[in-house]
Amino acid sequence: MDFREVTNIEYMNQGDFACPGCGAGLSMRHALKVLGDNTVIVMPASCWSIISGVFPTAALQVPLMHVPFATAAAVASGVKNAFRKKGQEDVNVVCWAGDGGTFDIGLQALSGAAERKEDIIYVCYDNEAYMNTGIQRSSATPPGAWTTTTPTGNPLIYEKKDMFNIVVSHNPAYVATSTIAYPDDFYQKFEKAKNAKGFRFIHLLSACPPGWRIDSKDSVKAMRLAVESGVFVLMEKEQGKPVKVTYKPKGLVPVREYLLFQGRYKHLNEDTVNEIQIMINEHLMSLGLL
Amino acid sequence: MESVDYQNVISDKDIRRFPISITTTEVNLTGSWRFYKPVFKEKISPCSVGCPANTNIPKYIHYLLKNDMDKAAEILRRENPFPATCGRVCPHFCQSKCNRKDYDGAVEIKQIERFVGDYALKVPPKKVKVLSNKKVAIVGGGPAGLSCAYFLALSGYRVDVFEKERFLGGLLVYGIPDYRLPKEIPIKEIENILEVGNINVNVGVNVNREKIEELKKEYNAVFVALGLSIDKVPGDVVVDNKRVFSGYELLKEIKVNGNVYLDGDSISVLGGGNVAFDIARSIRRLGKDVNIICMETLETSPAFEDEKKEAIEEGIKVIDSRFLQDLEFRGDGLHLQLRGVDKVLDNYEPVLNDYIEGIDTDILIVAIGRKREESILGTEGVFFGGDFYNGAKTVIEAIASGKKVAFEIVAKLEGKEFKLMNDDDQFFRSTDDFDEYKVIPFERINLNYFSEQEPIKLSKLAANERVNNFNEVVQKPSLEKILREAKRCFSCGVCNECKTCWFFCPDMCIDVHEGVNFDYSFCKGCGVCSEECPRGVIEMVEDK
Repeated sequence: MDFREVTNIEYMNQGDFACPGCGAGLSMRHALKVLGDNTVIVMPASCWSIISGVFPTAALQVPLMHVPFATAAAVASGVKNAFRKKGQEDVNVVCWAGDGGTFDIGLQALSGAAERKEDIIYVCYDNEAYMNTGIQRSSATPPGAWTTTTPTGNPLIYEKKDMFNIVVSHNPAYVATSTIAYPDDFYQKFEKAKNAKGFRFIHLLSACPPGWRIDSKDSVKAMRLAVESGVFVLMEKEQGKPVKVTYKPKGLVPVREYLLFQGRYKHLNEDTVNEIQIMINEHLMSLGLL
Repeated sequence: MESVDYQNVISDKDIRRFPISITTTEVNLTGSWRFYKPVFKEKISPCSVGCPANTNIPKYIHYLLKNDMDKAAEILRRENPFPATCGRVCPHFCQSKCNRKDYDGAVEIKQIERFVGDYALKVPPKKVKVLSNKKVAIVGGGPAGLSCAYFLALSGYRVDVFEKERFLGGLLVYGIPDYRLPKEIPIKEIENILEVGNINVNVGVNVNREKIEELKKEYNAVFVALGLSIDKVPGDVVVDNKRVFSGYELLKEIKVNGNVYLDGDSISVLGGGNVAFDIARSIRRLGKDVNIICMETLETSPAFEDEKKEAIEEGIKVIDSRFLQDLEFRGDGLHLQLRGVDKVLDNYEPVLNDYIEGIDTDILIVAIGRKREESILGTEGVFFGGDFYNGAKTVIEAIASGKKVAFEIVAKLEGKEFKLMNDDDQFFRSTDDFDEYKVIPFERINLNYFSEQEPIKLSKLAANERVNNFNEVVQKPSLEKILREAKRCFSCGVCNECKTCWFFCPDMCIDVHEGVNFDYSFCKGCGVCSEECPRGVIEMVEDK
């Protein structure tokens, strides 16, 4: 991707409250570059509730609605339908939720909206724990990861919830996984989501330097390594088409490299790393990548 | 904090859309969170260390891609007044240092330089306005002397050049055959050098030791770059210009007249360097049968690889590992007695073996090297440079030598001390266009931003199309090819405004314009820009 061709218009203001190196802040910046200013963000409790600033200041130049934790998809459905009644079909109504607000607390509202084929875009920026409240485990936390509520590591039997397939089973218009470390992929998927009609879901992997216990400078590198090691697979599914893997790593990086440069995995011993590698391999095999 | 004027908040547009907070978070100066701050520091690319003239290669490639050819030509000519010539005859030491070499093949810098150099032919450099009343004499109008004259003139000094031949240019004009370097190229570049002004040319002047003593009195400084003027000849061989010729003299004649008369069809050339191959290939173009006799094996002989390969393609036979032991005049021709050579020592002495071979030939051309006029070397208080001082070297080394001496002279006349920018690498640029002397290693390149791509293939005339004429062998590559090749450049340590840092800055604190500018009021100091920069231009330093 030639970054010189990316638009210079910003829909986010400086001075937001994201931590240094935050993947979520960066993802929002670029998501809005694709979606444009004809967008309304609906946001449940999450890191981004803080990042967006204290009233009356706002980090976004588009309307943003803070809603209770469990209700993002439900509120977004209402907002979109209100716009529709007013004849403003073209407004992008976007839920911007963390993994807690998607995998755990917001799941039933999400499922309901997906089932009703509501015309909204649901973006989950997944930093793999409740980072804002102090790094508590969520059902998006990967096996083995340290959090303040799993001080000896998330048990290996707690596999990360397969959100992609849960949403796919509702047969929505568009489902994708992506991360900002792959700008081409990120821009293409947001473009597709913007142009599709119906329920659209994008699962973004988003590095959290304090929560992952990494140096803030390695934030993009961590997201990239997750993809290169096969921990996070970039794929998409359009309605009526099969699941498509959009990026195949050229040579898979051993998962050890991804895990061991993060502080949240530093307690892992060799056996556990190998077990995680086997789990990853099985997942990749099921996708035909190995 | 600014108070909100609710009267202004409610406009038609907002009612139709959605309520929105209109005060921005820009009241939070998040720059105060920072412990480390990013700084923009341009460094040194390995190619420019490889280049004897230390040209800022990534920078001119950047301006080429930006379609600013004037600027590209200017940057190239800041370090080297002969880019079109070097784009043809330079062995490009830079390419052997290219960080891309072990990745997918070095960037074809030579072709890019030729392209920019050809453009530069049409744009003469700006005339200098500064004028000093100090005068410098330059003895020898070859690449070293002219390069010295160019940089001195740019610094405002008055320069007098003394040249033995009728034209300036030395080997560029008299030595390198047209199929490698068409003569109009160096001639045009010399015209461009003279455009700078302040350079006074005296041709046809033979300078000896006494003359140099005179010049010393008359001028503030004297630079001697006479080149190598005396042919080396093996022990009992005499150049009689009937059966035995000097390769250099023949090359000069061919270059000036386009032809030379030789009484015989089978020619032997003695020597394994570029001149031996040049004269062999030139004679071949005049329809003769040519073989080359050299002491080294073909692989270890000092000529450029391309020269050897192309010579063999053109039907020149190389008799390698042979030493000319004896030469006999037999009737109209010569009989050469050759001994086998096991190896050649560092002082060019061969270690012979018992093998003996005799060959008959019509004419022998000697091209085993040249030496300098030693009597001049002892002169004190003058500057020496070029091949005269360094021995037989390449054109670019002569240019670099002339440039360094020019700045040595400038420093001396201004009463300052001349300093290289780096002593270990003998690094010197006429302009200080980097922030820190640090050569970017391959490991510092962020390979995630580069996909593998083969270098361009050169298009050359086929052997049968070139053996009967002096047309340039390497054809001019198309613009499209050049741009594709230029895009392969990693641009190590030199910002090419790729905007990767801007894209990945989570705080929107980066503006890329003629380098990278940071907004320190809001930069949280995360360091992503520094980590993601594909070419190591951004560094994190402690922020106190």
